[in-house]
Amino acid sequence: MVVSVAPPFGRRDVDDARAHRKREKRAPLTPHEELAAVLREHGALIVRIARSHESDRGRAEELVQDIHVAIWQALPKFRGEANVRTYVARIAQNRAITHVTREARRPRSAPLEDVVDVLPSEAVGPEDAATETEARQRLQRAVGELPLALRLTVTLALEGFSPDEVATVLGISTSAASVRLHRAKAALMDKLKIGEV
Amino acid sequence: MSTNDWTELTRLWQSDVPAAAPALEVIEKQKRRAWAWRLTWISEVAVTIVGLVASLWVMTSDKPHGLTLGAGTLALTLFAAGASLWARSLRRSPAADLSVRASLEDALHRARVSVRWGLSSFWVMAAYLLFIAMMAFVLASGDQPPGVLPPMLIILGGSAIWGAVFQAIAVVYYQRRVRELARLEDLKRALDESAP
Repeated sequence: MVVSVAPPFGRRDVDDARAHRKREKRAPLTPHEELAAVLREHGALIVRIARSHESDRGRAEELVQDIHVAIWQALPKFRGEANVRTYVARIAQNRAITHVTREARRPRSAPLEDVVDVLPSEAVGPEDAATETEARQRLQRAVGELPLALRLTVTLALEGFSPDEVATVLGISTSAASVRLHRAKAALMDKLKIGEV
Repeated sequence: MSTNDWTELTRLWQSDVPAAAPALEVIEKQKRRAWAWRLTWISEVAVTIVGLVASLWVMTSDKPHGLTLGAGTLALTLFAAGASLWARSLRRSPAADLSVRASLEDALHRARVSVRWGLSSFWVMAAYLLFIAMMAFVLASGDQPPGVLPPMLIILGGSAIWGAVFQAIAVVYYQRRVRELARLEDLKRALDESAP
């Protein structure tokens, strides 16, 4: 039987990376290495969640850093009770809540729409890419304008989390998560007036 | 809303692939901050011990106003230690469940501890300023050897300014934490209300 051993990081979760190290009888991952592994896989999710809660680019970066610290602190306690993506999303949403309540008093400055990264899609031309970027900005803005309780839910839905996973992240029952998902999606669609996106 | 609409929105949302380098500098800062918290606790214990020893020593010495000064120091030390214990008594380990609801409860708890902390700092400084005023009164009303009173009053004046500044900081800290607590309670209400 041929067992292929993939490189420890690449597109692997932290638990896979830990197992790989164990198989190879190498020293366990350091917290920094574990963080790097998680960020390679889920870094974009973290930034998207941070941006959905913070429209100011500088503060969104601060929030991303806060989330990194929280993940770094939480990783040694991670025992694989949930998948890493759910674990990371929970930490990100929790830090975002703290951030939103702390930052509520500070005035807004540069809105995200002015500085959002422009990443042209591989399959489309420059004009289509611009249209796509504009649509994405409108979506991010609409998400950011939702009340926090709905925003928490809708970002998870947009990240592709199932009602079960949303329930785990929010700490509510699956049926409650399903109802809240329905409300959150409806509220987002209402904001977007879907025909314009 | 059709499934296609939602699928398209999901695709659009996830097509944004921003990258962020690990916040290693912030992590190092966080380590230092954790050490600073430990240092605060150690310094509070040390100050309490020094305060108790100093007050007992002054009370039993033959120095003028020794009893008054020692009793005042003892009262201030015990008051500060009690206030610190009162503020810390609410502290607890973070919830094992990392869900948003559990985390919000933790945040509310931390905010309540911080409010207590601000309040206890304010009253400790109020007691400290009262002690300084009492000392100034005792020194000024008694017979002092020539040249002793002016430097003592300068020291007391400096201590009073330091106390007043610290108290002002405690007031600002307390007000901020109260506002933060109110925002967290609003948020909890919003989450509860939106729950089906």
